[in-house]
Amino acid sequence: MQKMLIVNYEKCTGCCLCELVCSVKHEAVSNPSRARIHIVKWEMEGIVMPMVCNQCESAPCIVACPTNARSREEDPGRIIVNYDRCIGCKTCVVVCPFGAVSFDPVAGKIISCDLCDGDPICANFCETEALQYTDASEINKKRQREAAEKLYESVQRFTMAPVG
Amino acid sequence: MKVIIIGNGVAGNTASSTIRHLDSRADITIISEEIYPEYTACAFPHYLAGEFRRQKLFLKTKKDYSRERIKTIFGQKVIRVSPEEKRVFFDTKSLAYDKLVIATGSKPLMLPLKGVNLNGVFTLKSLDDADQIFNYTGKTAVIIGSGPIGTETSVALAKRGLRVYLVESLDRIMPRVFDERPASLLRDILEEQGIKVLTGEMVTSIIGNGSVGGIVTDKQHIKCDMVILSAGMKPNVELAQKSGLNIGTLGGISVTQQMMTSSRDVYAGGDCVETEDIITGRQTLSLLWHNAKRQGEVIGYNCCGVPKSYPGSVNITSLDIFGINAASFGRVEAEVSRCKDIEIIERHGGENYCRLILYQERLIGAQSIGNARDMGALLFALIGRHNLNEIKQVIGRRAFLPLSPWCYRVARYIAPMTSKG
Repeated sequence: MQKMLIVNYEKCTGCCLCELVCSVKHEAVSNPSRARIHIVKWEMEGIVMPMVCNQCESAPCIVACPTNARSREEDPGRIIVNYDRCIGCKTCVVVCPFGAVSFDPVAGKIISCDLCDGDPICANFCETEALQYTDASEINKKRQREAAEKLYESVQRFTMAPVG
Repeated sequence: MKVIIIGNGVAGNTASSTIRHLDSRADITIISEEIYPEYTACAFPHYLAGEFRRQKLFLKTKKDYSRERIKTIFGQKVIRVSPEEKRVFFDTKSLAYDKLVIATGSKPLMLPLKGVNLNGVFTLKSLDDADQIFNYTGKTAVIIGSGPIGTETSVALAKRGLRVYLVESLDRIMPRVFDERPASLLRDILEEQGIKVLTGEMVTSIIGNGSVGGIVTDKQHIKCDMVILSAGMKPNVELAQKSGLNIGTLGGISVTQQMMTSSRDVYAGGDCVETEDIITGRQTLSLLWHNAKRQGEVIGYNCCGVPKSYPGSVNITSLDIFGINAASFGRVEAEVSRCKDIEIIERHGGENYCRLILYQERLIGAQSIGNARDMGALLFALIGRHNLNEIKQVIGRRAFLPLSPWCYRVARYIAPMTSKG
Protein backbone atom coordinates (compact mmCIF):
# COMPACT_ATOMS: atom_id res chain seq x y z
CA MET A 1 0.00 0.00 0.00
CA GLN A 2 1.06 3.58 -0.36
CA LYS A 3 3.52 4.97 2.16
CA MET A 4 2.76 8.06 4.19
CA LEU A 5 4.75 10.41 6.35
CA ILE A 6 3.07 9.99 9.70
CA VAL A 7 3.47 12.42 12.56
CA ASN A 8 3.24 10.99 16.09
CA TYR A 9 2.69 14.23 17.94
CA GLU A 10 3.14 12.73 21.41
CA LYS A 11 6.68 11.66 20.56
CA CYS A 12 8.00 14.98 19.28
CA THR A 13 10.49 16.56 21.64
CA GLY A 14 10.97 19.75 19.61
CA CYS A 15 14.64 19.08 18.80
CA CYS A 16 14.06 20.49 15.29
CA LEU A 17 16.60 18.17 13.69
CA CYS A 18 14.05 17.48 10.97
CA GLU A 19 13.99 21.17 10.01
CA LEU A 20 17.79 21.25 9.81
CA VAL A 21 18.25 18.16 7.66
CA CYS A 22 15.35 19.18 5.40
CA SER A 23 16.92 22.52 4.59
CA VAL A 24 20.34 20.91 4.12
CA LYS A 25 18.95 18.34 1.72
CA HIS A 26 16.78 20.68 -0.33
CA GLU A 27 18.50 24.04 -0.17
CA ALA A 28 22.09 23.01 0.70
CA VAL A 29 22.13 25.25 3.77
CA SER A 30 21.47 24.57 7.41
CA ASN A 31 18.58 26.99 7.87
CA PRO A 32 15.41 25.80 9.62
CA SER A 33 13.38 28.73 8.28
CA ARG A 34 13.91 27.34 4.79
CA ALA A 35 12.69 23.87 5.67
CA ARG A 36 9.49 22.24 4.45
CA ILE A 37 8.62 20.91 7.87
CA HIS A 38 8.07 23.26 10.76
CA ILE A 39 7.95 22.59 14.47
CA VAL A 40 5.35 24.86 16.00
CA LYS A 41 6.02 25.46 19.67
CA TRP A 42 4.18 26.83 22.61
CA GLU A 43 7.09 26.94 25.04
CA MET A 44 5.07 27.96 28.10
CA GLU A 45 2.52 25.21 27.64
CA GLY A 46 5.13 22.67 26.65
CA ILE A 47 3.47 21.85 23.37
CA VAL A 48 5.41 21.01 20.22
CA MET A 49 3.76 20.10 16.95
CA PRO A 50 5.43 19.14 13.69
CA MET A 51 3.54 20.66 10.79
CA VAL A 52 4.18 19.34 7.31
CA CYS A 53 2.29 18.89 4.06
CA ASN A 54 -0.39 16.23 4.42
CA GLN A 55 -0.34 15.48 0.66
CA CYS A 56 -4.13 15.89 0.65
CA GLU A 57 -6.11 13.79 -1.80
CA SER A 58 -8.40 16.69 -2.59
CA ALA A 59 -5.89 19.42 -1.97
CA PRO A 60 -7.10 23.01 -1.65
CA CYS A 61 -3.72 24.18 -2.97
CA ILE A 62 -4.29 22.32 -6.25
CA VAL A 63 -7.80 23.72 -6.70
CA ALA A 64 -6.69 27.24 -5.94
CA CYS A 65 -3.61 27.38 -8.18
CA PRO A 66 -4.43 29.79 -11.03
CA THR A 67 -1.88 28.30 -13.42
CA ASN A 68 -2.39 24.60 -12.62
CA ALA A 69 1.21 24.52 -11.41
CA ARG A 70 0.41 22.21 -8.51
CA SER A 71 -0.57 18.60 -9.09
CA ARG A 72 -0.63 15.26 -7.34
CA GLU A 73 1.71 12.42 -8.19
CA GLU A 74 0.66 8.93 -7.24
CA ASP A 75 4.06 7.37 -6.72
CA PRO A 76 5.02 8.46 -4.11
CA GLY A 77 1.72 10.03 -3.08
CA ARG A 78 2.82 13.63 -3.05
CA ILE A 79 2.02 17.09 -4.33
CA ILE A 80 4.52 18.67 -6.69
CA VAL A 81 5.06 22.10 -8.20
CA ASN A 82 5.74 22.76 -11.85
CA TYR A 83 8.12 25.71 -11.47
CA ASP A 84 7.77 26.55 -15.13
CA ARG A 85 4.13 27.43 -14.54
CA CYS A 86 4.29 28.85 -11.00
CA ILE A 87 3.89 32.63 -10.91
CA GLY A 88 4.48 32.93 -7.18
CA CYS A 89 1.06 34.40 -6.43
CA LYS A 90 1.05 32.47 -3.14
CA THR A 91 -2.63 31.54 -3.36
CA CYS A 92 -1.56 28.03 -2.36
CA VAL A 93 0.07 29.47 0.75
CA VAL A 94 -3.14 31.33 1.56
CA VAL A 95 -5.46 28.32 1.28
CA CYS A 96 -3.43 25.55 2.96
CA PRO A 97 -5.16 24.79 6.29
CA PHE A 98 -1.91 23.52 7.78
CA GLY A 99 0.36 26.34 6.68
CA ALA A 100 2.43 23.65 5.01
CA VAL A 101 3.19 25.59 1.85
CA SER A 102 5.61 28.47 2.12
CA PHE A 103 7.44 30.86 -0.11
CA ASP A 104 11.22 30.63 0.26
CA PRO A 105 12.34 34.22 -0.28
CA VAL A 106 16.01 33.25 -0.78
CA ALA A 107 15.39 30.84 -3.63
CA GLY A 108 12.31 32.79 -4.72
CA LYS A 109 10.05 29.78 -4.98
CA ILE A 110 7.10 28.00 -3.43
CA ILE A 111 8.13 25.02 -1.34
CA SER A 112 6.31 22.20 0.38
CA CYS A 113 7.20 18.67 1.42
CA ASP A 114 7.99 16.42 -1.56
CA LEU A 115 8.74 13.33 0.53
CA CYS A 116 12.34 13.54 -0.69
CA ASP A 117 11.42 11.42 -3.73
CA GLY A 118 10.37 8.49 -1.54
CA ASP A 119 12.95 8.49 1.27
CA PRO A 120 12.12 11.39 3.60
CA ILE A 121 15.25 12.50 5.36
CA CYS A 122 13.38 13.93 8.35
CA ALA A 123 11.96 10.49 9.17
CA ASN A 124 15.45 8.99 8.87
CA PHE A 125 16.86 11.44 11.37
CA CYS A 126 14.00 11.57 13.86
CA GLU A 127 15.33 9.88 16.96
CA THR A 128 12.05 9.45 18.78
CA GLU A 129 10.17 8.11 15.73
CA ALA A 130 7.81 11.06 15.90
CA LEU A 131 8.16 11.07 12.12
CA GLN A 132 7.70 7.78 10.35
CA TYR A 133 7.53 6.97 6.69
CA THR A 134 5.66 3.71 6.52
CA ASP A 135 2.80 1.92 4.88
CA ALA A 136 -0.40 3.76 5.65
CA SER A 137 -2.22 0.60 6.68
CA GLU A 138 0.53 -0.31 9.17
CA ILE A 139 0.12 2.91 11.13
CA ASN A 140 -3.54 2.35 11.52
CA LYS A 141 -3.03 -1.20 12.77
CA LYS A 142 -0.51 -0.03 15.36
CA ARG A 143 -2.92 2.51 16.81
CA GLN A 144 -5.77 0.01 16.73
CA ARG A 145 -3.66 -2.45 18.65
CA GLU A 146 -2.57 0.12 21.21
CA ALA A 147 -6.18 1.18 21.80
CA ALA A 148 -7.38 -2.42 21.88
CA GLU A 149 -4.75 -3.31 24.50
CA LYS A 150 -5.87 -0.44 26.71
CA LEU A 151 -9.47 -1.51 26.34
CA TYR A 152 -8.57 -5.12 27.07
CA GLU A 153 -6.77 -4.11 30.28
CA SER A 154 -9.78 -2.11 31.48
CA VAL A 155 -12.14 -4.96 30.72
CA GLN A 156 -9.87 -7.44 32.55
CA ARG A 157 -9.72 -5.20 35.59
CA PHE A 158 -13.47 -4.84 35.56
CA THR A 159 -14.23 -8.55 35.25
CA MET A 160 -11.53 -9.57 37.77
CA ALA A 161 -12.72 -7.12 40.42
CA PRO A 162 -13.71 -8.95 43.62
CA VAL A 163 -17.45 -9.08 44.35
CA GLY A 164 -18.98 -8.35 47.70
CA MET B 1 -22.21 9.38 -23.62
CA LYS B 2 -21.69 12.44 -25.78
CA VAL B 3 -20.64 15.56 -23.88
CA ILE B 4 -20.32 18.99 -25.41
CA ILE B 5 -18.57 21.74 -23.48
CA ILE B 6 -18.96 25.33 -24.62
CA GLY B 7 -16.02 27.30 -23.27
CA ASN B 8 -12.31 26.55 -23.06
CA GLY B 9 -11.47 28.10 -19.70
CA VAL B 10 -10.73 26.47 -16.37
CA ALA B 11 -14.35 25.40 -15.70
CA GLY B 12 -14.74 23.78 -19.09
CA ASN B 13 -11.36 22.06 -19.01
CA THR B 14 -11.71 20.84 -15.44
CA ALA B 15 -15.12 19.39 -16.35
CA SER B 16 -13.66 17.61 -19.38
CA SER B 17 -10.65 16.22 -17.48
CA THR B 18 -12.91 15.02 -14.66
CA ILE B 19 -15.25 13.28 -17.09
CA ARG B 20 -12.34 11.64 -18.91
CA HIS B 21 -10.91 10.52 -15.58
CA LEU B 22 -14.21 8.87 -14.59
CA ASP B 23 -15.34 7.62 -17.99
CA SER B 24 -12.73 6.47 -20.47
CA ARG B 25 -15.31 6.00 -23.20
CA ALA B 26 -17.15 9.33 -23.08
CA ASP B 27 -17.15 11.32 -26.32
CA ILE B 28 -16.07 14.81 -25.23
CA THR B 29 -15.89 17.94 -27.39
CA ILE B 30 -14.78 21.39 -26.26
CA ILE B 31 -16.00 24.32 -28.36
CA SER B 32 -14.42 27.73 -28.09
CA GLU B 33 -14.85 31.05 -29.89
CA GLU B 34 -11.15 31.72 -29.41
CA ILE B 35 -8.53 29.92 -31.46
CA TYR B 36 -6.15 29.20 -28.62
CA PRO B 37 -5.73 26.12 -26.43
CA GLU B 38 -6.42 26.64 -22.73
CA TYR B 39 -4.51 29.55 -21.24
CA THR B 40 -4.63 31.31 -17.88
CA ALA B 41 -5.46 34.99 -17.72
CA CYS B 42 -4.24 35.04 -14.10
CA ALA B 43 -0.67 35.14 -15.40
CA PHE B 44 -1.27 38.16 -17.70
CA PRO B 45 0.34 40.66 -15.33
CA HIS B 46 3.53 38.59 -15.40
CA TYR B 47 3.40 38.46 -19.20
CA LEU B 48 2.78 42.19 -19.46
CA ALA B 49 5.62 42.95 -17.07
CA GLY B 50 7.95 40.97 -19.31
CA GLU B 51 8.61 38.37 -16.60
CA PHE B 52 6.83 35.49 -18.30
CA ARG B 53 7.19 34.24 -21.88
CA ARG B 54 3.92 34.24 -23.79
CA GLN B 55 4.17 30.50 -24.26
CA LYS B 56 3.93 29.99 -20.53
CA LEU B 57 0.39 31.33 -20.48
CA PHE B 58 -0.87 28.16 -22.15
CA LEU B 59 -1.93 25.35 -19.85
CA LYS B 60 -2.48 22.87 -22.65
CA THR B 61 -1.11 22.21 -26.10
CA LYS B 62 -3.17 20.72 -28.93
CA LYS B 63 -1.40 17.44 -28.15
CA ASP B 64 -2.63 17.49 -24.56
CA TYR B 65 -6.21 17.53 -25.82
CA SER B 66 -5.65 14.59 -28.15
CA ARG B 67 -3.82 12.70 -25.44
CA GLU B 68 -6.91 12.98 -23.24
CA ARG B 69 -8.97 12.13 -26.35
CA ILE B 70 -10.88 15.38 -26.16
CA LYS B 71 -12.12 16.73 -29.49
CA THR B 72 -11.84 20.45 -30.00
CA ILE B 73 -13.62 22.97 -32.18
CA PHE B 74 -11.74 26.24 -31.83
CA GLY B 75 -12.50 29.55 -33.46
CA GLN B 76 -16.19 28.86 -33.95
CA LYS B 77 -19.17 30.39 -32.25
CA VAL B 78 -22.21 28.49 -31.04
CA ILE B 79 -25.15 30.68 -32.00
CA ARG B 80 -27.97 28.72 -30.43
CA VAL B 81 -28.67 25.77 -28.19
CA SER B 82 -31.84 23.73 -28.21
CA PRO B 83 -32.29 21.85 -24.93
CA GLU B 84 -35.42 20.18 -26.34
CA GLU B 85 -33.66 18.73 -29.37
CA LYS B 86 -30.38 18.39 -27.41
CA ARG B 87 -28.41 20.06 -30.17
CA VAL B 88 -26.01 22.97 -30.42
CA PHE B 89 -26.12 25.09 -33.56
CA PHE B 90 -23.34 26.80 -35.43
CA ASP B 91 -23.75 28.95 -38.53
CA THR B 92 -23.81 26.06 -40.93
CA LYS B 93 -24.02 22.89 -38.88
CA SER B 94 -25.30 21.41 -35.64
CA LEU B 95 -24.13 18.80 -33.17
CA ALA B 96 -26.09 16.51 -30.90
CA TYR B 97 -25.29 15.96 -27.22
CA ASP B 98 -26.30 13.82 -24.26
CA LYS B 99 -24.92 16.30 -21.73
CA LEU B 100 -24.10 19.94 -22.34
CA VAL B 101 -21.81 22.14 -20.27
CA ILE B 102 -22.01 25.89 -20.66
CA ALA B 103 -18.80 27.54 -19.47
CA THR B 104 -18.91 30.74 -21.46
CA GLY B 105 -17.07 32.83 -18.88
CA SER B 106 -17.39 36.56 -18.39
CA LYS B 107 -16.64 39.81 -20.17
CA PRO B 108 -15.42 43.21 -19.01
CA LEU B 109 -17.95 45.79 -17.87
CA MET B 110 -17.79 48.60 -20.40
CA LEU B 111 -18.14 52.03 -18.86
CA PRO B 112 -20.36 54.37 -20.88
CA LEU B 113 -17.53 56.86 -21.39
CA LYS B 114 -16.98 59.12 -24.33
CA GLY B 115 -13.90 58.12 -26.23
CA VAL B 116 -14.03 54.48 -25.27
CA ASN B 117 -13.53 53.53 -28.93
CA LEU B 118 -10.34 55.50 -29.43
CA ASN B 119 -7.13 53.77 -30.39
CA GLY B 120 -5.19 52.96 -27.24
CA VAL B 121 -8.15 52.07 -25.03
CA PHE B 122 -8.02 48.46 -23.87
CA THR B 123 -9.72 45.97 -21.61
CA LEU B 124 -7.77 43.05 -20.20
CA LYS B 125 -9.71 39.85 -20.54
CA SER B 126 -8.55 37.68 -23.41
CA LEU B 127 -5.14 36.74 -24.74
CA ASP B 128 -5.79 39.01 -27.71
CA ASP B 129 -6.28 41.90 -25.27
CA ALA B 130 -3.04 41.05 -23.48
CA ASP B 131 -1.12 40.80 -26.77
CA GLN B 132 -2.44 44.18 -27.88
CA ILE B 133 -1.44 45.82 -24.62
CA PHE B 134 1.95 44.11 -24.69
CA ASN B 135 2.70 45.32 -28.21
CA TYR B 136 1.37 48.84 -27.82
CA THR B 137 4.05 51.45 -27.44
CA GLY B 138 2.58 53.74 -24.85
CA LYS B 139 4.44 55.93 -22.36
CA THR B 140 1.74 56.93 -19.92
CA ALA B 141 -1.11 54.64 -18.96
CA VAL B 142 -4.26 55.33 -16.99
CA ILE B 143 -5.93 52.33 -15.42
CA ILE B 144 -9.57 52.83 -14.56
CA GLY B 145 -10.72 50.61 -11.69
CA SER B 146 -8.46 49.42 -8.91
CA GLY B 147 -9.71 45.88 -8.35
CA PRO B 148 -7.09 43.11 -8.25
CA ILE B 149 -6.85 43.10 -12.05
CA GLY B 150 -6.39 46.87 -12.34
CA THR B 151 -3.90 46.93 -9.48
CA GLU B 152 -1.82 44.02 -10.81
CA THR B 153 -1.85 45.61 -14.26
CA SER B 154 -0.62 48.90 -12.85
CA VAL B 155 2.28 47.06 -11.21
CA ALA B 156 3.06 45.22 -14.46
CA LEU B 157 3.10 48.36 -16.59
CA ALA B 158 5.16 50.24 -14.01
CA LYS B 159 7.70 47.41 -14.15
CA ARG B 160 7.88 47.92 -17.89
CA GLY B 161 8.83 51.52 -17.38
CA LEU B 162 5.55 53.28 -18.13
CA ARG B 163 4.24 56.18 -16.13
CA VAL B 164 1.10 54.77 -14.51
CA TYR B 165 -2.02 56.32 -13.00
CA LEU B 166 -4.48 54.11 -11.11
CA VAL B 167 -7.89 55.75 -10.80
CA GLU B 168 -10.55 54.51 -8.40
CA SER B 169 -13.96 56.06 -7.82
CA LEU B 170 -14.33 54.76 -4.25
CA ASP B 171 -12.26 55.94 -1.30
CA ARG B 172 -9.60 53.21 -1.30
CA ILE B 173 -7.95 50.79 -3.70
CA MET B 174 -9.32 47.26 -4.08
CA PRO B 175 -12.41 48.30 -2.09
CA ARG B 176 -14.17 44.94 -2.29
CA VAL B 177 -11.13 43.05 -1.09
CA PHE B 178 -9.39 45.26 1.49
CA ASP B 179 -10.54 47.62 4.22
CA GLU B 180 -9.17 51.14 4.62
CA ARG B 181 -6.09 50.34 6.72
CA PRO B 182 -4.61 47.47 4.64
CA ALA B 183 -5.65 49.26 1.43
CA SER B 184 -3.64 52.33 2.41
CA LEU B 185 -0.63 50.18 3.35
CA LEU B 186 -0.78 48.73 -0.17
CA ARG B 187 -1.32 52.15 -1.68
CA ASP B 188 1.86 53.33 0.05
CA ILE B 189 3.80 50.53 -1.63
CA LEU B 190 2.39 51.41 -5.05
CA GLU B 191 3.17 55.10 -4.61
CA GLU B 192 6.67 54.34 -3.35
CA GLN B 193 7.26 52.61 -6.67
CA GLY B 194 6.07 55.60 -8.63
CA ILE B 195 2.50 54.67 -9.44
CA LYS B 196 0.13 57.61 -9.05
CA VAL B 197 -2.93 56.45 -7.16
CA LEU B 198 -6.08 58.55 -7.33
CA THR B 199 -9.00 57.55 -5.13
CA GLY B 200 -12.40 59.16 -4.75
CA GLU B 201 -12.04 60.33 -8.33
CA MET B 202 -14.28 59.44 -11.27
CA VAL B 203 -13.27 59.41 -14.92
CA THR B 204 -15.83 61.29 -17.02
CA SER B 205 -14.38 60.96 -20.50
CA ILE B 206 -11.47 59.85 -22.61
CA ILE B 207 -10.23 62.46 -25.08
CA GLY B 208 -8.16 62.26 -28.22
CA ASN B 209 -8.12 62.51 -31.96
CA GLY B 210 -8.20 58.99 -33.32
CA SER B 211 -5.87 57.87 -30.53
CA VAL B 212 -6.02 58.47 -26.79
CA GLY B 213 -4.57 61.84 -25.78
CA GLY B 214 -5.75 61.98 -22.21
CA ILE B 215 -8.57 61.48 -19.75
CA VAL B 216 -10.84 63.86 -17.87
CA THR B 217 -11.91 63.15 -14.30
CA ASP B 218 -14.20 65.12 -12.02
CA LYS B 219 -11.08 66.78 -10.61
CA GLN B 220 -8.47 67.10 -13.35
CA HIS B 221 -7.19 66.38 -16.84
CA ILE B 222 -4.47 63.76 -17.22
CA LYS B 223 -2.36 63.45 -20.36
CA CYS B 224 -1.85 59.83 -21.39
CA ASP B 225 -1.60 57.65 -24.47
CA MET B 226 -3.07 54.46 -23.12
CA VAL B 227 -6.19 53.62 -21.10
CA ILE B 228 -7.08 50.29 -19.57
CA LEU B 229 -10.65 49.72 -18.44
CA SER B 230 -10.71 47.29 -15.53
CA ALA B 231 -13.98 48.21 -13.92
CA GLY B 232 -15.31 44.72 -13.30
CA MET B 233 -16.53 41.63 -15.11
CA LYS B 234 -20.00 40.37 -15.83
CA PRO B 235 -21.19 36.87 -16.79
CA ASN B 236 -21.54 35.95 -20.47
CA VAL B 237 -25.12 34.72 -20.52
CA GLU B 238 -26.23 35.69 -24.01
CA LEU B 239 -26.20 32.13 -25.31
CA ALA B 240 -27.86 30.71 -22.20
CA GLN B 241 -30.55 33.36 -22.28
CA LYS B 242 -31.29 32.81 -25.97
CA SER B 243 -31.57 29.10 -25.27
CA GLY B 244 -34.26 29.67 -22.66
CA LEU B 245 -32.22 28.90 -19.54
CA ASN B 246 -33.07 30.73 -16.33
CA ILE B 247 -30.86 33.68 -15.55
CA GLY B 248 -30.63 34.79 -11.92
CA THR B 249 -31.25 38.26 -10.48
CA LEU B 250 -27.53 39.05 -10.43
CA GLY B 251 -27.18 38.31 -14.13
CA GLY B 252 -25.54 34.89 -13.94
CA ILE B 253 -26.98 31.57 -15.11
CA SER B 254 -29.03 29.99 -12.30
CA VAL B 255 -27.75 26.59 -11.23
CA THR B 256 -28.56 24.01 -8.58
CA GLN B 257 -26.01 22.71 -6.12
CA GLN B 258 -25.16 20.06 -8.70
CA MET B 259 -24.47 22.89 -11.17
CA MET B 260 -27.46 21.97 -13.32
CA THR B 261 -29.34 24.72 -15.14
CA SER B 262 -33.10 24.98 -15.53
CA SER B 263 -32.84 22.49 -18.40
CA ARG B 264 -32.16 18.85 -17.74
CA ASP B 265 -28.74 17.60 -18.84
CA VAL B 266 -27.50 21.17 -19.31
CA TYR B 267 -24.87 22.16 -16.73
CA ALA B 268 -23.12 25.48 -16.31
CA GLY B 269 -20.10 26.64 -14.35
CA GLY B 270 -17.35 29.21 -14.11
CA ASP B 271 -17.71 32.97 -14.50
CA CYS B 272 -21.05 32.66 -16.29
CA VAL B 273 -23.00 31.39 -13.28
CA GLU B 274 -24.28 32.81 -10.04
CA THR B 275 -23.79 30.65 -6.99
CA GLU B 276 -24.40 30.54 -3.27
CA ASP B 277 -21.88 32.30 -1.06
CA ILE B 278 -20.45 29.89 1.50
CA ILE B 279 -20.72 32.40 4.35
CA THR B 280 -23.94 34.27 3.73
CA GLY B 281 -25.85 31.56 1.88
CA ARG B 282 -27.06 34.23 -0.51
CA GLN B 283 -26.64 34.33 -4.28
CA THR B 284 -23.42 35.93 -5.39
CA LEU B 285 -21.20 36.51 -8.40
CA SER B 286 -17.82 35.23 -7.27
CA LEU B 287 -16.00 35.06 -10.57
CA LEU B 288 -12.73 33.52 -9.46
CA TRP B 289 -10.42 30.76 -10.68
CA HIS B 290 -10.71 28.38 -7.73
CA ASN B 291 -14.52 28.57 -7.71
CA ALA B 292 -14.61 27.83 -11.44
CA LYS B 293 -12.23 24.92 -11.02
CA ARG B 294 -14.26 23.39 -8.21
CA GLN B 295 -17.48 23.91 -10.18
CA GLY B 296 -15.92 22.20 -13.22
CA GLU B 297 -15.09 19.23 -11.02
CA VAL B 298 -18.65 19.03 -9.68
CA ILE B 299 -20.04 19.25 -13.23
CA GLY B 300 -17.74 16.45 -14.36
CA TYR B 301 -18.90 14.16 -11.56
CA ASN B 302 -22.57 14.86 -12.12
CA CYS B 303 -22.28 14.35 -15.88
CA CYS B 304 -21.01 10.86 -15.13
CA GLY B 305 -23.85 10.16 -12.75
CA VAL B 306 -21.83 10.60 -9.55
CA PRO B 307 -23.78 13.01 -7.36
CA LYS B 308 -21.55 15.74 -6.00
CA SER B 309 -22.54 19.11 -4.64
CA TYR B 310 -20.82 22.41 -4.89
CA PRO B 311 -20.13 23.65 -1.36
CA GLY B 312 -20.54 27.32 -2.28
CA SER B 313 -18.27 30.13 -3.39
CA VAL B 314 -15.62 31.91 -1.33
CA ASN B 315 -13.87 35.09 -2.33
CA ILE B 316 -10.15 34.42 -2.09
CA THR B 317 -7.65 36.90 -3.47
CA SER B 318 -3.89 36.66 -3.34
CA LEU B 319 -1.65 39.05 -5.20
CA ASP B 320 1.94 40.11 -5.26
CA ILE B 321 2.66 43.83 -5.09
CA PHE B 322 6.33 44.46 -5.77
CA GLY B 323 7.33 41.36 -3.83
CA ILE B 324 4.87 41.82 -0.99
CA ASN B 325 2.00 39.39 -0.74
CA ALA B 326 -1.48 40.77 -0.11
CA ALA B 327 -4.21 38.25 0.61
CA SER B 328 -7.86 38.45 1.51
CA PHE B 329 -10.87 36.20 1.78
CA GLY B 330 -14.48 36.48 2.85
CA ARG B 331 -16.16 39.76 3.68
CA VAL B 332 -14.53 43.09 4.42
CA GLU B 333 -15.49 45.25 7.38
CA ALA B 334 -16.78 48.00 5.11
CA GLU B 335 -19.48 45.66 3.81
CA VAL B 336 -20.79 44.68 7.23
CA SER B 337 -19.97 47.71 9.37
CA ARG B 338 -23.63 48.45 9.92
CA CYS B 339 -24.37 45.00 11.37
CA LYS B 340 -24.27 44.33 15.11
CA ASP B 341 -22.00 41.71 16.67
CA ILE B 342 -19.09 42.61 14.41
CA GLU B 343 -15.63 42.42 15.95
CA ILE B 344 -12.34 43.31 14.32
CA ILE B 345 -8.98 41.87 15.37
CA GLU B 346 -5.95 43.60 13.94
CA ARG B 347 -2.30 42.65 14.30
CA HIS B 348 0.46 44.78 12.87
CA GLY B 349 3.98 43.53 13.49
CA GLY B 350 6.84 44.96 11.43
CA GLU B 351 6.36 43.87 7.85
CA ASN B 352 3.28 41.80 8.53
CA TYR B 353 -0.26 42.98 8.93
CA CYS B 354 -3.36 40.94 9.51
CA ARG B 355 -6.99 41.66 10.20
CA LEU B 356 -9.85 39.36 11.11
CA ILE B 357 -13.54 40.18 10.71
CA LEU B 358 -15.78 38.31 13.13
CA TYR B 359 -19.55 38.11 13.25
CA GLN B 360 -21.05 36.59 16.38
CA GLU B 361 -17.63 35.13 17.21
CA ARG B 362 -17.36 33.37 13.90
CA LEU B 363 -14.83 34.34 11.29
CA ILE B 364 -16.37 35.85 8.17
CA GLY B 365 -13.33 37.46 6.61
CA ALA B 366 -9.60 38.01 6.89
CA GLN B 367 -6.95 40.15 5.18
CA SER B 368 -3.20 39.90 5.41
CA ILE B 369 -0.19 41.73 4.08
CA GLY B 370 3.23 40.15 4.24
CA ASN B 371 3.17 36.59 5.46
CA ALA B 372 0.08 34.66 4.45
CA ARG B 373 1.06 31.33 5.96
CA ASP B 374 -1.68 31.15 8.57
CA MET B 375 -4.47 32.36 6.33
CA GLY B 376 -5.33 28.81 5.33
CA ALA B 377 -6.19 27.84 8.88
CA LEU B 378 -8.33 30.96 9.17
CA LEU B 379 -10.00 30.10 5.89
CA PHE B 380 -10.97 26.69 7.19
CA ALA B 381 -12.27 28.23 10.40
CA LEU B 382 -14.44 30.41 8.17
CA ILE B 383 -15.69 27.57 5.98
CA GLY B 384 -16.33 25.30 8.95
CA ARG B 385 -18.17 28.16 10.68
CA HIS B 386 -16.16 27.41 13.80
CA ASN B 387 -16.88 29.54 16.81
CA LEU B 388 -13.57 30.98 17.95
CA ASN B 389 -14.30 30.08 21.54
CA GLU B 390 -14.51 26.44 20.47
CA ILE B 391 -11.13 26.78 18.87
CA LYS B 392 -9.74 28.31 22.04
CA GLN B 393 -10.99 25.31 23.96
CA VAL B 394 -9.19 22.92 21.64
CA ILE B 395 -6.00 24.88 21.94
CA GLY B 396 -6.25 24.93 25.71
CA ARG B 397 -6.54 21.16 26.06
CA ARG B 398 -3.41 19.28 25.26
CA ALA B 399 -5.23 16.02 24.59
CA PHE B 400 -7.21 17.53 21.75
CA LEU B 401 -4.31 19.11 19.96
CA PRO B 402 -3.37 16.31 17.59
CA LEU B 403 -6.98 16.07 16.55
CA SER B 404 -6.98 19.44 14.91
CA PRO B 405 -3.52 20.66 14.04
CA TRP B 406 -4.79 23.58 12.05
CA CYS B 407 -6.26 25.11 15.16
CA TYR B 408 -2.73 26.04 16.07
CA ARG B 409 -2.42 28.30 13.10
CA VAL B 410 -5.44 30.23 14.25
CA ALA B 411 -4.32 30.43 17.87
CA ARG B 412 -1.92 33.31 17.62
CA TYR B 413 -4.60 35.58 16.27
CA ILE B 414 -7.15 35.04 18.97
CA ALA B 415 -5.08 34.82 22.10
CA PRO B 416 -5.58 37.19 23.78
CA MET B 417 -8.72 38.31 22.01
CA THR B 418 -9.10 41.52 23.93
CA SER B 419 -5.89 43.27 22.92
CA LYS B 420 -5.59 45.14 19.65
CA GLY B 421 -2.66 46.09 17.47
